[in-house]
Amino acid sequence: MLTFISVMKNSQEMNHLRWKSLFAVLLGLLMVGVIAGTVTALPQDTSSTFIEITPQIAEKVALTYVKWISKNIPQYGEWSDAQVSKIPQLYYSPDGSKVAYEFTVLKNDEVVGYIMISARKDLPPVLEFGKSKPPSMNIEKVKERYKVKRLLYLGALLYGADIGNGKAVHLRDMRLMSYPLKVTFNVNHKAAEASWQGILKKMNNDMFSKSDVGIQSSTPVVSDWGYIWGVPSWTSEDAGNADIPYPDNVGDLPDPWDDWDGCTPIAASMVLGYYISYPDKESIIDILHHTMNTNDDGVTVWWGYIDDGIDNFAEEYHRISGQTIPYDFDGSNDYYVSMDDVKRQIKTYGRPFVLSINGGPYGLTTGHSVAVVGFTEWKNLDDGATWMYLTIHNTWYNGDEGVDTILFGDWTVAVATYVTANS
Amino acid sequence: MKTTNVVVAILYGAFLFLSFLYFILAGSAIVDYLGIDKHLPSSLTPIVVAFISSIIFTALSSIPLVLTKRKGMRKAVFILFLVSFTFYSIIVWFFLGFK
Repeated sequence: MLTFISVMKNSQEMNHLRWKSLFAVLLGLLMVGVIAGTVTALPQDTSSTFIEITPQIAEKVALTYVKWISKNIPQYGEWSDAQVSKIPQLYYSPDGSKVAYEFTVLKNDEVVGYIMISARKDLPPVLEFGKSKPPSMNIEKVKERYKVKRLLYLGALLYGADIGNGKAVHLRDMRLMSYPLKVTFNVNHKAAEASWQGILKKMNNDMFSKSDVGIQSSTPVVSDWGYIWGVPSWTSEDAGNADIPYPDNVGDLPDPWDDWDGCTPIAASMVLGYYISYPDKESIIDILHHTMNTNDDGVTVWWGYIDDGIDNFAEEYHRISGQTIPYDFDGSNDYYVSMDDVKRQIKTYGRPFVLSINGGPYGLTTGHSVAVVGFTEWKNLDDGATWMYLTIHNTWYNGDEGVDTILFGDWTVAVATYVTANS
Repeated sequence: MKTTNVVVAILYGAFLFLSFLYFILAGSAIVDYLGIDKHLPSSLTPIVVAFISSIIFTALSSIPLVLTKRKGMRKAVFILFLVSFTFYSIIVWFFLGFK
């Protein structure tokens, strides 16, 4: 009996020990998961990270960088002598913290673009800029249908008007989306803080001063760049919801799906359009919509459909038209895109590519695809911080309005689809 | 149900929720690189992606169970797979994508 009790006791102790071990390992696993997801977003120095960047500071930074961009970034020469709006539009993170100030870039009182300045010291001063109208200019359209609580910035090109209940309306394509609970940005936060420290150190503390000599000396130098001229910048303009089946709709005719053909077929069409002069824009988009299995709402569900859709383009075009194009396109996905990969594609090979970005892992949000046509690498000589900015065609507008420049890493995950044109 | 079981379930649930995008990305990369999707009807691809992603999740999250040599491990692993597969399928079908 004593032996039995002893065995039972030992068994209970063993069980207890096993539970303890299980808890320990599980907690460890959970912590690894959380750290893996958020380590890049976590500030190293909490006390200085959340010191607020005031609108006045942001305005000076915006103006300084607009002048610097006009001299240093291809395609932005017209921003010389441009001004920025006095009152910025504030964007929030889903957790309620301020994340970005949007300034309208004005030249002779006309809107020539926008620039997003970080409202947080753990993000680089410039988040993105472009020649299109500021995203917030569409807020009135949203207000016609919804009560807007605040504006959200979820990462590069992912901005929305918060309408409550976890829903937001994207400020570019007006789609309704569920926004994530938390957003992480895959940038070097320590380097960002160093950049801000440099700016604040050199900045004239007198906010009423017109002088920005100090802050100008904190701007970076362009240490490397690459740009592919001749990549079209366009969007889809044919109507949708028509009773015309594919492939009869291919071209300018209305499509059987929604008005919006989808960002991914449009982004890929610009990459293919760089190589081929026919078929026309709408035909390329419609065929890619089919080969990429893009759904009627314009959503391309999975990364694997993107490269496969590009692979099958030439064959599908031949199937429906009987004609051939001089290239056989080969798409390949890179699930871990790096700055070196971007340089290789743009500068070494001269190949534009598709970049599909998602913002925010702790919630559900639909991402966006763009065509990458160039990059500039900004190096801050004071602290050695290096940032890469991608020049992209955003798929929402035609021509210059469709050109934006986004910070590399201003997303949670990104997958690149490289395209090789074999003749 | 024991409190400890509830706590373990919550911990696993939190891990599943926090890490889903990374596991789906890894699953997608495997399916894409191996060209598995090219041999299947396109409508089946999301299911295959969810399946591979949940295999990876189950393999990783089973490590604590293996290390602690818990009783009923097979059942626990099966439940982990089932829950992750269901969750990833919902994500891949209804929420993933680019517009």
